[in-house]
Amino acid sequence: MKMAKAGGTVLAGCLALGALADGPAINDVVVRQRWPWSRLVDINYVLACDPSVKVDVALTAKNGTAPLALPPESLSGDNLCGVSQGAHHIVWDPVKAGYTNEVLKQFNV
Amino acid sequence: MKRMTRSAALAASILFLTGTGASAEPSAPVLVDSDLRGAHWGTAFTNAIDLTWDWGTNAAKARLDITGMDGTTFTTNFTKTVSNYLWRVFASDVPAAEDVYDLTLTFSTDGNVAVGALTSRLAVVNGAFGATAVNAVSNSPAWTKVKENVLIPYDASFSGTATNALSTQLVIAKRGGAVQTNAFADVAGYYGWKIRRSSWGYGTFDLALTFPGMTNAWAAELMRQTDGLIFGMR
Repeated sequence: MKMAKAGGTVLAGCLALGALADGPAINDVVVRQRWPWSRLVDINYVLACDPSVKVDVALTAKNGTAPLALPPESLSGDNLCGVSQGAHHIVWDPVKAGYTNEVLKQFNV
Repeated sequence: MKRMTRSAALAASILFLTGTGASAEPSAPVLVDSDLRGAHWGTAFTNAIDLTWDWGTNAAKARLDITGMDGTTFTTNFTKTVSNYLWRVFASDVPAAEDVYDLTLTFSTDGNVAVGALTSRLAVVNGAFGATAVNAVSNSPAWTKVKENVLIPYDASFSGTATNALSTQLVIAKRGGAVQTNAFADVAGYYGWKIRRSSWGYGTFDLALTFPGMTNAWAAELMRQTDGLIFGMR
């Protein structure tokens, strides 16, 4: 999971204030399939940034080192654009992403 | 679709010394998680966790019991001079297996009269430390197989209509055998189902997850087959 960019105007304000020297960071990422209830995959993370900042988050996933497709229709939960600080939750549906015939043994984001 | 409403915040506070003209540096930002309903609260993110507590006025000593999914228990005792304990959850960088731990800190007087207790449940999830398995195969036999002790997740947010739930019920019923009803006071977390070296044995198990007062229910059928080879005799 990567930080794509912060909202331009807001980011400029943050830099001017210099309130959080280390910049936005994503921590405490937990990925787990909802076995045995459903094939959905819960992706939880915590965004650490200045409270006044909104950040766009880019979500990428791999099976081991092989990139996986994450079409928008396979994602639900919290928005990835304009994300504010705190805990967030994304749900990935591997079936809607077309992975209907394989076991992803090394799934990671 | 669930929108997180938690008020978790990274708080950086600045303490000012009024009247003297001096000021202190801001403290390092720390995570303050105020959402007891979230799975985040009950998940371990490091292999060592600093447990801290406050002593009540009547307490003179405390005992910490940590019980894993397989029933193993770690116990240690504290006197009133100690207010924290660094719990080494596992030694390696990544866990060897998923687990869920029940923590109980019992306070007592010098005369061994219990005067209070703190409890918590923490899950060690592979997907918090690296890659994890995702099975997307429809009707996969592997989906229903259970061999080891496993974590069963529950979260009212699985269904958007159950987000007002106040408790959870997980029923495990062995076909032709025992039925176990588990009631949880929270609505998100993990239940550690000990199936190895237990009285559950082998067979087919029906699991039902409900949130009392809500109409949505989740069901799963799991099978545990005997270990080793099975020979047919004629």
